[in-house]
Amino acid sequence: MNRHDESGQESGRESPATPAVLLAGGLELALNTWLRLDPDSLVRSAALYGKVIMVELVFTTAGAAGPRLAFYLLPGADGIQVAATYPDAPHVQIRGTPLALTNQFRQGSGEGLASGVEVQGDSQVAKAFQELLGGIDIDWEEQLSRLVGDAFAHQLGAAVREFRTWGRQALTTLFTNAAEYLQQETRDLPPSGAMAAFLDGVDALRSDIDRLEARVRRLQQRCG
Amino acid sequence: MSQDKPDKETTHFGYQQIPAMEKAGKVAGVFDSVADKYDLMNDLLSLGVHRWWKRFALDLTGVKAGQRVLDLAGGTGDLAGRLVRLVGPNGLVVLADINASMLAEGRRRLTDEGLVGNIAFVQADAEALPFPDNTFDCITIAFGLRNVTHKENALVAMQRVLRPGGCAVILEFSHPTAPGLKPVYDFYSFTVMPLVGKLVANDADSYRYLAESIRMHPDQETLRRMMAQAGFERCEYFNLTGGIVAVHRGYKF
Repeated sequence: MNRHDESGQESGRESPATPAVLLAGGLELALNTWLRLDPDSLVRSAALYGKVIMVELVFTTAGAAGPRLAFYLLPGADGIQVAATYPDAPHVQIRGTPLALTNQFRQGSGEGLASGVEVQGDSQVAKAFQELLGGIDIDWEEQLSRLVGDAFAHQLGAAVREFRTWGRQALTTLFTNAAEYLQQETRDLPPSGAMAAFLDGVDALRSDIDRLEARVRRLQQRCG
Repeated sequence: MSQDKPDKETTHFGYQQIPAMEKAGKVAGVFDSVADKYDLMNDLLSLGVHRWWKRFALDLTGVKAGQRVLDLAGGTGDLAGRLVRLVGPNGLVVLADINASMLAEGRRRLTDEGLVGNIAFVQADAEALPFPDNTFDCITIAFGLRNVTHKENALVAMQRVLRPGGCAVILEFSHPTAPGLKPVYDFYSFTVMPLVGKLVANDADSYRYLAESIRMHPDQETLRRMMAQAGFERCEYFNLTGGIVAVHRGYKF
């Protein structure tokens, strides 16, 4: 985008950065598609109407803080509007690396701040925003039923649940069998009972040494 | 700039010369015809790029919470819907359009989206704005100015209702500046646009008018000078997509 002022000269002053505007549009589309999969989240979004939340992504290069990219999020009843610029101070600023922010927004509201995330401003707004994103619970079976009908979606949902249960059981069995093989067949690992007895022995030995050390110190004081 | 200062009897309507008094009625006919498919056609004809153009324009407004904004020729409420979120519950957005069909479409759409309370709808002529002096912190007009009969009168009216310190942002089709773009753009707008208009909205004539009216609209520099003549200061413009669209911004101090 070229800017022309009264002198007819081109300059980049004050012009909104093109990639940031395009990225804001992409982020808005992705966020709102996600929010609309859980209609309850739009109710939480509506409750934040009028608040401005700045989310700043900090890209680290070789361990040092590198370029930053800020987005301004304006929640409302129909989703979240994302802007690349906002001329006033936001209600809350949330900044961190993309990974840290992803961890932050995936966890529940009661779990505090993820490592590497910094929050400045109105903590109530930050908490409500965390609840908005962290509380998204998508009913995939319901979403699927819109495409293929209730009956098939229910069958598919039941099949997926059955597969997950089977998978969980299979994983548990695999771990048990692998542990038994390594402990009892190859004897590469000690049985869990022997390991516990060994660790108890180490603890007892440490306590005995501590007591012995204390007694030696007392005898030294008495002699000295 | 003859097309922007027509003589007393005639003005342009696309490539035709018509009596000035008839232009508003003819433009109304075009928009009555396209109102219900306006957003779909915008998406089709611009391949969705009009959304990015509007985003750029909004970023240039600098609108913030609590302000009053006038969205002129606001049509189906694309810009107003986003402005409502920017001004927040304590601000006000006035969506004005001369065309009742477009205004009704905008009101229906924004109400459906739950955008109520801090938005008002006014049927108004951009040349004779029914607001007191120094009312708005910002005025936007997206793809509307070229349909106004006397653009200079509209610019003066906009400057009058703007508060000192406020700015007007005009998003409008303009003249391609990128090398080699003009022939491609001409083919697209005079062949593809009427064809898509006929297929989707069954109305090739309205879309041919839109293409012609874009050609008759003043170029970037001319519009910037017109803004300065209307009393705007620090006038500037930003070319988008090779100059197919330009965003003009001017302040009132």
